[in-house]
Amino acid sequence: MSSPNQQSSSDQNQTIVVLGASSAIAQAVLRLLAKGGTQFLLIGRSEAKLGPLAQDLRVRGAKLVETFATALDEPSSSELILARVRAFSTPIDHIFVAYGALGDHEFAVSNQVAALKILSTNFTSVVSHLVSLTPMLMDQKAGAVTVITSVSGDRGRQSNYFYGAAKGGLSLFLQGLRNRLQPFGVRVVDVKAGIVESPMTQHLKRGLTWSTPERVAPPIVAAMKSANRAVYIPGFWRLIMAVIRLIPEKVFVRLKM
Amino acid sequence: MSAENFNLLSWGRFPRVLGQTALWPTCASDLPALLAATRKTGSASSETLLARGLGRSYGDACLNEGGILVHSTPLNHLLEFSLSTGIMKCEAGVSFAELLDFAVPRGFFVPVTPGTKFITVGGAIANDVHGKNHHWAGNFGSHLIQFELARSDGSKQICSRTQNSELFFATIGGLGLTGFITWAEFHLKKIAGPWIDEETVKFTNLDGFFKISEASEKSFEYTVAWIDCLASGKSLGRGLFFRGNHSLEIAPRRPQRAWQQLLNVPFDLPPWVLSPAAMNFGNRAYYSRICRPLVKRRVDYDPFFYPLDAIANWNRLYGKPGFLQYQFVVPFSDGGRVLAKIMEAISRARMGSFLAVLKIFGTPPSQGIMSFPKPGVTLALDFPNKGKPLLALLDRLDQWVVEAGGRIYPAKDARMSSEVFRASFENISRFVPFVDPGFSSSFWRRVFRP
Repeated sequence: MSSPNQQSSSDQNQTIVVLGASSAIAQAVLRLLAKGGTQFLLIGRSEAKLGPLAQDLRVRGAKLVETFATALDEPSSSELILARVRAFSTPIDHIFVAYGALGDHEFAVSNQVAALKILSTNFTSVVSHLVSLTPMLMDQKAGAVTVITSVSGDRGRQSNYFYGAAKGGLSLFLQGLRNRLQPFGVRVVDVKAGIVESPMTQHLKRGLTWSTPERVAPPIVAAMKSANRAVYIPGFWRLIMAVIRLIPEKVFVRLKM
Repeated sequence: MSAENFNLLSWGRFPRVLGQTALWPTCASDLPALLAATRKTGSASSETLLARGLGRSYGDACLNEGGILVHSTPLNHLLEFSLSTGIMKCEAGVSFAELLDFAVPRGFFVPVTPGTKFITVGGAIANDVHGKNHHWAGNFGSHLIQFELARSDGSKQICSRTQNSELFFATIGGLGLTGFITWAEFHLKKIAGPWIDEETVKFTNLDGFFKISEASEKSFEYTVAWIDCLASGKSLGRGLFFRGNHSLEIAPRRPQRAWQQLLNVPFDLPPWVLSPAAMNFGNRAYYSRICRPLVKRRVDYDPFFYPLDAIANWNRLYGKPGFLQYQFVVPFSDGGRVLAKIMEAISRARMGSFLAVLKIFGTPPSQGIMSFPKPGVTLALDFPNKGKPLLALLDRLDQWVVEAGGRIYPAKDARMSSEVFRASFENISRFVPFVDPGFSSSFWRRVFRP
């Protein structure tokens, strides 16, 4: 049951708040969105990184770009973010969450602080910010939320289970949120991204399934415009993860993925 | 800011150097502090810096053995653009491909472009690149307004023709040795649409090339010739002459087909694939594909300017040994004779390959102290890496080039001797004071010994 105020399918003059704007994937996506005369509130840790990005988006056609620097990985910054969003000149149409950190998995295996940090950066802080911001969309009875999660959230494996758990938990949370927000006409898009070349992954060895921010940006933009479900990007990951999920546990425990 | 040990190569994948550390700056404003912190005083090559763009230099101008490569590609933002003046200001890690994606739909083009669009603005300045329109527009540096240079002492300087002008002209063509360019401002040029009116003219020998070149200069903005470097005798220097102008046609571009995105050489080919016999066959086939003396077409700018960019990783065709590109210019006064002599030697040695490009450099002056182009004729060839016999051949060719008053293009060079370099770049002594003591490259240490 969608409201007559539903406007998320329109290209033009969208207002988007971006949590983690300087991430590689976010930058590629925002460059595509800037063409439509979009308005952006860019939120990230470093003003020095947000500044040039804001200029870039304005050159590419963004109608208005403002920046706000704060530590996104701290759940405590949700209040600051909410205040800043409320102070933005127009109502928000779209909340785009694009930040995350792999962390040092091997170190976290035996270090509680490091382990909990991976979870809070990738899961609890995101939940905190969304709980703080979604009431606004519910009041408007319109809008959308897009969060970049990961295919590694589909099955726990020995090489990456903190990040995987965080992203997997986030996908589950988004699924519930989608269910909850449907009567309000608000869409929730879960972008399950495969492995992408970026500063976050630059220390890892490249492989055949690797993609680039420029390659994944167009399908992400398409999903942001109209999807209301979990989307695997690039699409071939849907098949790969379906197969991986089918492997019996007795077999999987012996693997070294 | 993170560092990792990663063996970065140049486009020719020769030489393979060791012990390079790669640094990824997170943003432009961090850069001066990053450079100053990384640089330790009073040390040898182990801590010198060099900016790294997209690594399209063929030889070792983009390598720094035992040193640090600072990636410029994270600095890839457009900063300001004026639709009325066409002036673009952007970070130096922006590629020509990204510039064109932005500019062409808005009715603008880069003022000068080399044969690949996968170069950064910083790289275009550091090599003072030239293109098919050299005879009308000169090098890229001629269209540069100003840029900001970060140096190893942590300072940042804005350089232009009126401000820090000596550093400005030292950095153009300065191969990254004066510092790290963070952003640059330059002119784009107005075009009507994305199409090029192209003509292809067949010529049967070197004299034919000179005749057509002269006839095409005034009415064609873009000119270049492909020649069959394995032909000899009466057919020496036969080839195809490509000339073109921006078309007034404004029809939109045709979208790329799905199969075109897949054109890629995913792994090194074994060296025997590009054998002399295969090359000879390839050259003959390419020359014969044009049956009529003159063919006219309207083409998209992409295949006209960047035919090789269509095949990702085409450098892997040369296999693990890699290849050498040899590009030189010889002045007009003796140009024809020396050129013929060099081409005969290459043809007889049967070491050349498919890619051989010939062009006349016009009179627009090169503005950088160390810029390569000078009026005359330039030839660029690929050679599969055949080791010592190839190096001996190229050393011989170097002598002829230098005797004729010419020089070798540093952006392509992997092996010219220090003597040849000093003899052919007469302005070195004016350039050296501007080399940042914290910056160096494998190329510079090879050709310049103080």
